[in-house]
Amino acid sequence: MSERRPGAGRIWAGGLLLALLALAVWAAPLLAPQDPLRVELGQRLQPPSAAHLLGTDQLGRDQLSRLLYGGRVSLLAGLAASGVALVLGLAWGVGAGLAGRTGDFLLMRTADVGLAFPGLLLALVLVGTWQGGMVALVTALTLTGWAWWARLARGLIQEAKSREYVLGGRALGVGGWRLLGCYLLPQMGPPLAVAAAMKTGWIIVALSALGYLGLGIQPPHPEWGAMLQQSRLYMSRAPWLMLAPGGAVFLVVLACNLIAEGLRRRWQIREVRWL
Amino acid sequence: MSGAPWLSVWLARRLGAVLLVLWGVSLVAFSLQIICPGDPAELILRTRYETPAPKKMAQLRRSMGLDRPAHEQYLAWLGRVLCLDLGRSYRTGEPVAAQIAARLPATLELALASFALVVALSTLLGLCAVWRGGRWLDRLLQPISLGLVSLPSYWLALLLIALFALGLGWLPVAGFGGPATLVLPALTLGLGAAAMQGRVLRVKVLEVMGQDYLRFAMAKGLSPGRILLRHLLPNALVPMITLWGMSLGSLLGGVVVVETIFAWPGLGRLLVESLLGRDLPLVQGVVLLMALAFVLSSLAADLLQRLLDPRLSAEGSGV
Repeated sequence: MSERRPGAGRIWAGGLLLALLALAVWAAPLLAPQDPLRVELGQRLQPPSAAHLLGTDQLGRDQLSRLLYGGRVSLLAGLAASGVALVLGLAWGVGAGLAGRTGDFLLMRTADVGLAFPGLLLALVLVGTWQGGMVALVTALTLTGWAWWARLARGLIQEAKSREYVLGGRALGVGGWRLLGCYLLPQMGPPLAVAAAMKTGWIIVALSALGYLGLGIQPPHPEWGAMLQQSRLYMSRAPWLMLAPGGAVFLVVLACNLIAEGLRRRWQIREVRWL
Repeated sequence: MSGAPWLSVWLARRLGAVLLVLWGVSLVAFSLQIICPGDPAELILRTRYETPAPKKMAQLRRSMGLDRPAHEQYLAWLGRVLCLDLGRSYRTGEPVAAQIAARLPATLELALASFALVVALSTLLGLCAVWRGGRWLDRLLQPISLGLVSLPSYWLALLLIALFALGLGWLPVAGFGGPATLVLPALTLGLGAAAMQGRVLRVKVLEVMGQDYLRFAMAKGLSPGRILLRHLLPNALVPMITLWGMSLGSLLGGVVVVETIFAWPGLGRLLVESLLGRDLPLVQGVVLLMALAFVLSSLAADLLQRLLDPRLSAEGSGV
C-alpha cells in the first residue's frame, strides 16, 4: 500500500462512521428496544442498565429508542436542507457568473442580503415566527445556507471561466450548455464536494441547535437537540442523559468534517472558507 | 500616499453595497410580519389577557396601520426604524430600543471576551506548526482541533458545566455577574471558532514559511524573534483580519444558543424569549441590530486589511 492517496484514511473513516450512523438510524424500528413515545412514569431517570442501555428520561421513555428515532429527523432534514441549498445556490451562483453585468449585480446583491445574517440567526427567526413544523424547518435552513453556496459557486465559475482550455474551447465555438456541462462544471466539482461535506455538518448542528432552543421539532417527537435541552434540567440527577444525544451530533459532524478534510487533501485544495 | 485615492473609491463602492444589503435586510425583517401566522391585533390583546372582541381588534388594527396595504406599512415602518424608533413590545408595551439597550452590554461583554480568546488562541495554534520544539504538539493538536471544530456549542457547554461547575465546583453553573460567570460562556462561544481559525492560520503560516523572502531572511542570519515579528507574523496575520472580522459577527449570532444555556441576560436570550412569546417588534429589532453589526464588522475588517496591506489597495477597487 505504498501508493496510498493523500486523505484516503480520513475519507474512509468519515464515510464509514457516517454510513454506520445512517444505517442505525434507518433501521431504528428494528434496533429500538421500545416505542420512543412510550411513557413509564415508574421508570423515570433510570441509569443505564440491561433493559435500558442508555437509561430512561424524565418520563421513563427509553433513551436509546429516542436517540435512534430522533436521528431520523436530524439526518433526513439536515441532508434535505443541505441538498436543496446546494442546488439552489449553485444555480444562482452559476447564473450570476454567466449572466451579464446587470444580471450578476442583481443576483449577487440578493445573495449578499442572505449573507448579512450571522450564523443561524435567519433560520432561527424564520422558524420562530413561521411555526410551520418540518417544512418550515427545512425551508429556513435552506434559505440560510443558499446564499453561501451562491457566493462560492460564482467565485468558482469566474475562476473556471478564465482558464485557458475554456478560452480555447470558446474559440473553437463551444458554447451554451456544452460549455457549462463539459468545461466549467467539472472544474468546480472538487471544491464543491469539500464544501458540501462541511456544510452538511454545519446544517445538522444548526438543526439541533434550533431543537435545543425549543423551536425545531415539537415534543413529544424525539430530536437530538430537544433531548439535550431536556437533559439540561436533570444534569445533576441523571448526567448520562446528556451524553448520548450530544455525542450523536458530534459524531455526525466529525464524520462530515473528516470527509471534507480528506477530500481537501486528496485534491490539494488550499482553503475553502469555513464560514 | 498613492494608495489613498484607490482606497476612497473602494470604500465608496463598498459603502454603497452595504447600504443596498441593509435595505434588503430591512425587507426581510419586515416580511417576518407577513409570514407570522395569526393577526397581530389579536396577539396583542391575548398577551394582555383581554378578550379579542371584533370591535376592539378593528380599532387596534386601525391605530397600528394594519389595515393599510403592505407596501405602505413597510414604508411607514422603515421611516420609523430610520429614526431609531423600533416600535413597542407586544408583551410589555415598552419601547423596543430601550429593551435592546438594556440587554446589549451583557452581549458585548460576552462577544468581546470570546473574540479575544479566538484571536489569541488561534494565533497560538497556528504558530505551533513552525515552532521547532512544537512538532509533536502540532501533530497532537491537529486531531484535537478537528474535534473542537466538530463539537456543537450547546454540547460543549453542557460538558463544560458538568466538568467545571458540577464536577469540580470551580465555576458557577450559570448566571451573570463577575468574571467567574464569564469564563464558561466565553469558552463555549470561542473554542470552536478558535480551533477553526487556528487551522486556517496554520495553513497560512506554512505557506509564508515556504516563500523566498523568508528563506532569505533566515539565510541572512536574522534572529528567530525578528523573523517571527517582522516577516512571518505580518504576512500571515493580515489575511486573517477578514476572517476575524467575520468571526466577530458570527460570535454575535452564536450568542443566541450560549446565552440561553447559561442564562446570560443578553440579546440572544432576548431574541429567543421574544420568538417564543411571539413578540414581533422585539424580534425585528434584534435581527436588524445583529445583521447591522455583522455587516459593519466585516466592512471594518476589510478596510483594516486594506490599510495594513499595501498590495491589496494596489490591486485596485475590485470588490
